[in-house]
Amino acid sequence: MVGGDMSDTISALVDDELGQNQIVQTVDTLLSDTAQGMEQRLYYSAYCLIGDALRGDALGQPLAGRVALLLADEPTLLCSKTSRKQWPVLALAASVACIALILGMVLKQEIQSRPNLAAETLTAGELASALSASAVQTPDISNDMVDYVFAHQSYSQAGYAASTANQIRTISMATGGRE
Amino acid sequence: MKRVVFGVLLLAAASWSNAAEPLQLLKNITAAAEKINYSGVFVYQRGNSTETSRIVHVWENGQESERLQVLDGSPREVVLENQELKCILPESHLVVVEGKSKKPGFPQLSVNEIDSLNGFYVLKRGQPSRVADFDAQMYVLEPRDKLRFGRQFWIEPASSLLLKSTLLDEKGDVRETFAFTELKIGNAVDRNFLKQGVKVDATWRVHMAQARPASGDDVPWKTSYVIPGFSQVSIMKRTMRPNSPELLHVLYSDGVASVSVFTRTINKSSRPEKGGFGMGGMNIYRRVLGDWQLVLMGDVPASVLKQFGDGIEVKP
Repeated sequence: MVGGDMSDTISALVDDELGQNQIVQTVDTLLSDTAQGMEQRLYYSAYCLIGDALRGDALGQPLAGRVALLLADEPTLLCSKTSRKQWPVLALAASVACIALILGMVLKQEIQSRPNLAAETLTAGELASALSASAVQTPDISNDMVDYVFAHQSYSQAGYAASTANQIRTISMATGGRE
Repeated sequence: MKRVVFGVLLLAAASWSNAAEPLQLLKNITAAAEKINYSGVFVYQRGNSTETSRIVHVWENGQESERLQVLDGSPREVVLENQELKCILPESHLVVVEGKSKKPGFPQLSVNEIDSLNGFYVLKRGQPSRVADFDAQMYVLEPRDKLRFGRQFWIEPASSLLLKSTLLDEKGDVRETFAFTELKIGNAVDRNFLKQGVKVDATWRVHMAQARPASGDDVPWKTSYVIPGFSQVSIMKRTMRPNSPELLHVLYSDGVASVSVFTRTINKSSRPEKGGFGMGGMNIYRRVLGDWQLVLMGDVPASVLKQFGDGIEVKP
């Protein structure tokens, strides 16, 4: 279950209101293969989406733009309902912070293994590789659930009748999310 | 029930006996979807999410071939060929496969269950309408209690093909909608569209969702509460992934809605999960029972699903 503390932590993180130790702790949790990590990523993803929506196509930084394009091609995390209480303060700052955070998360291992690598010199391919490597570390919960929904729908009579259409929930869930 | 061949396609709505009306409606819809050639574009809506898909269905030599391609976002596909159903998910580089011939099949309802079905739903004939440029007859399958969802069906009268359906929650709000926007019925379908479009290579993961029949002895739990009108209709064991332990799949149904209870052993590599969430017309509830992870899902209200899940106890 998503709680208020979690949203506050993520909000504080993207608003750059956390201390160094808290940043490290929160990012570690975000990267962790735990239920809390997944829930925090859901919040984080929601904040990014909000930022994207408010920002439109206003990305001015070439690197940020490239990252955003790559992110658009990445699997969508399951999203829960978002808290609206802090929408006004997110805006552009939140979206930029999200990009910075994503970049930090993705490049964490990459930079550790390649000390001389500067983010500004990354090519789209390198970023894609880093993103892919990061994706491997994410929990496989969504695919577990896809399996379950697939199995359930094989025997469900949801009213769609056709065999393939009966799996519309499965394939919708594969890129969609919770409500 | 979905896989049962009912034989008669064009039973007119007027000929249904009162006692079997809801069941006959479902039978007609199922039979039409199976044995009629059609192609079209449909919209699937749940919550604020809408996706458009193209579907082609061909019935030939006693076999179905079918392909669904999502036209929005990631080009996901579902392909039915040689009785094998495949979900192809490009974003996840994942293919989930189930051989239809190997699954136990949704059992046909007994006479008592038909009576039970009528005890929990009432079928009402709505107004004639129009969907995807076809005349449509609307039906409402209304639950008699708050323990299950209602459904609305729009059917093409000549073929009994389902043109549109909605799932209504316990408050009467639409949770899910499926509706054709374009449709061709008959042999004039483009069979080229049946071919799988997404190329899958060795880097993709393949989950073989094979099921084999199991018995009550395999079920490590018992239920202290079963949703009224629901009965256990199937027990299966499934292996979803290579080298993964089998999980138990117990299916309950009231003849219209289905609830699945999945049971798997919690081990070091699998983290216990708790809580519930909704996804369109389906609710999902997870809880831990001893050393087992239970995952329940079905087209029933969240509170009802939770009550059902919480009533599951370890067998003494």
